[in-house]
Amino acid sequence: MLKFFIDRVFQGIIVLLAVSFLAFLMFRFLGDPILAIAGADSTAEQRAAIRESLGLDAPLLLQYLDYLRNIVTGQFGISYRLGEPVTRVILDRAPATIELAVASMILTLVIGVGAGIYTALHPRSAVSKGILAVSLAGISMPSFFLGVLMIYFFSVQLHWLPSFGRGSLVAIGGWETGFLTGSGLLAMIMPSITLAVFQIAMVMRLVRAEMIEVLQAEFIRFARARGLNARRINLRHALGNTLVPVITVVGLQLGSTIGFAVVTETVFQWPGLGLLFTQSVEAVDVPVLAAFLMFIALVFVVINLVIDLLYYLIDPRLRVDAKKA
Amino acid sequence: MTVVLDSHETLYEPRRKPVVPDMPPKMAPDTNQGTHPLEPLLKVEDLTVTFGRGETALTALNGIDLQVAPGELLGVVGESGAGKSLLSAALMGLLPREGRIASGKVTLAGDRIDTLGDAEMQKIRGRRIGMIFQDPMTSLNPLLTIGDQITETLVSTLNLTSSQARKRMLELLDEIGITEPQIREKSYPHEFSGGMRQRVVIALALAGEPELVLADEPTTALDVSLQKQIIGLIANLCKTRSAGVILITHDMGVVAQNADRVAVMYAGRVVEVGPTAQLMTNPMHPYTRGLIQSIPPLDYRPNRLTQIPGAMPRLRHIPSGCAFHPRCPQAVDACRQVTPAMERRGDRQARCLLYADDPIKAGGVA
Repeated sequence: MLKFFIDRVFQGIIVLLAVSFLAFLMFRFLGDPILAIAGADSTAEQRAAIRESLGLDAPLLLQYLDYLRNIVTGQFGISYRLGEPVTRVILDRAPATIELAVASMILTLVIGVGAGIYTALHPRSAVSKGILAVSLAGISMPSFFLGVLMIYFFSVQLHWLPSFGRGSLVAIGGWETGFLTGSGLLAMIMPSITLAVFQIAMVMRLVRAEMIEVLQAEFIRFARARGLNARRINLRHALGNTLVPVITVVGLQLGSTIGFAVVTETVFQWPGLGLLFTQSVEAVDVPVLAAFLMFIALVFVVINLVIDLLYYLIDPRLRVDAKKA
Repeated sequence: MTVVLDSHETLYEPRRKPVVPDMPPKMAPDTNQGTHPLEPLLKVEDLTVTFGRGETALTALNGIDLQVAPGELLGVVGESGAGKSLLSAALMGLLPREGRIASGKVTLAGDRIDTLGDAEMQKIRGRRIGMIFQDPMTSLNPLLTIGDQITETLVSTLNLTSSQARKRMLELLDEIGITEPQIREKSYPHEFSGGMRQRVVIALALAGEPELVLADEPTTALDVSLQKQIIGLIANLCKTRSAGVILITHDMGVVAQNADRVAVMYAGRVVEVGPTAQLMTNPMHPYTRGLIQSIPPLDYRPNRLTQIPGAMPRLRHIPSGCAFHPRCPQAVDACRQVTPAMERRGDRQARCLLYADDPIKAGGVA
């Protein structure tokens, strides 16, 4: 178990190192920082002086190690655009995005898994056919369109829900949460639905397909033959055996929503990382972009680690393989 | 009709009944239950299973009559496609979606079960009829320990508390010959060999103390060397519980060594039923004889194994008359037209015109 865990952590560190090198290269290839600091009308001598004073004349590898040392101590530099430390900028914005992603993941799990089970167990019912048709629409419809549509009905026409922002927030430590206030929760409804629709449809279809396959398995027939009730067979025996692929997809989706909720955040002016990302791209704010890249890599590495640990807990056959490995 | 039997008699060791002398062709008084000292536990009458409806419906089981007494082991043999596994699915109420019981009657200890809905059948399954599946590699849930799987079955079927169920589970593991049950209960199926898993499957099938056990090819997926142990285990456990057993197999040798009575199936019908000793030494139906002759002898090496020419017909193309006639060495013209009825000779019955009383129908036979 411990060895398995350490192996995976080690692999994650290698991934992060590779990404950090890419982030580092971004500084060199996205514009010349010297030129930005010294101004376009500076002389070659002035630029050389700055280059030397900032250590930018050192060999690439040394500069990279320097960068790495800063990253490890949490220093990602100063945002060109905001003039604030990048670490603070990201940490300010991350809670908004993470809460949105978590809310949409909860919707995805509850509705997607529930509808997936239902449609697998009642493949011929009219309700299932309706759900499948709706899910097709959910997969096909672009999320910005759904977001705009909802804003039109629920904000503009009905005035039920706020069309932008996070509502009022409560700070717990450094984390500002919208989960604890009424307006915070209301503000979260439309963005999380917009973000979740595609995922609900996808998870539902995945659960349905996996479940239909597992229900044909011999051990399910045997479970019926030994007199277990349908509920136990469906939820314990069948659903349990569909979890591994479902967890994989849901985990990676969570990573994607944290990293790439750009469209939804833009539509709802949600002050999260997606919005920060678009603004930083426009301003060529390289320190923020580089830190963002590292942050996304970290999120995916952590999620994959958690997924691996869940596999390990769910499927005993993997434990044997891990022992052998 | 002389049959060389010497080589096969070595296969047959009577399990609990004395060998009945060779079948005399005399008629026993026709008491309907002659073979059953007790009221039968399972009575299948004229069971017909069809797939699909209307014009295109296929008859997969056709007028099956069978009886099993408490504590009796009935072997059901036949080649693939004879309908053996479908018979067990029909008895369990686990027919595939397209299949249905079109006619007939199944009674278990006097209770009619063929007309029950799925919810009511669920109370029969595991509790009154247990079933041992064919492939132990796929019959167990890979994610749960064997202890958990047995315990949950005990809780569902016998309404035990979890601590009672655990105690009983350990006893069951011991009964099926798994050493150190306290340690092994925590094992997962993949940590067991095929033979051990099949023992667990047996424990699961018997957990609810069923009166009737269906064993569907229980050793087909296993190493031949385990065959005797596993079948012996099933026979013993059911004997001590006085449960009736239907042992489904395509292996005539397995049946010869273990069954009290044998039913031979061909193309969805039972073509011969009788006590094992008589049926093995002096088969009535030409198909039964063909099956027995194709058992490889143990005491000499034949140049060529005997086989029945041809193959089991597909459901869509079941021949007219006696379905076996295209492969039958003794077929006469009448076999093509007349579907033979069950003819009774003492304890035994066969569906073959050779035994028909009607001289017109049997006229062609010398």
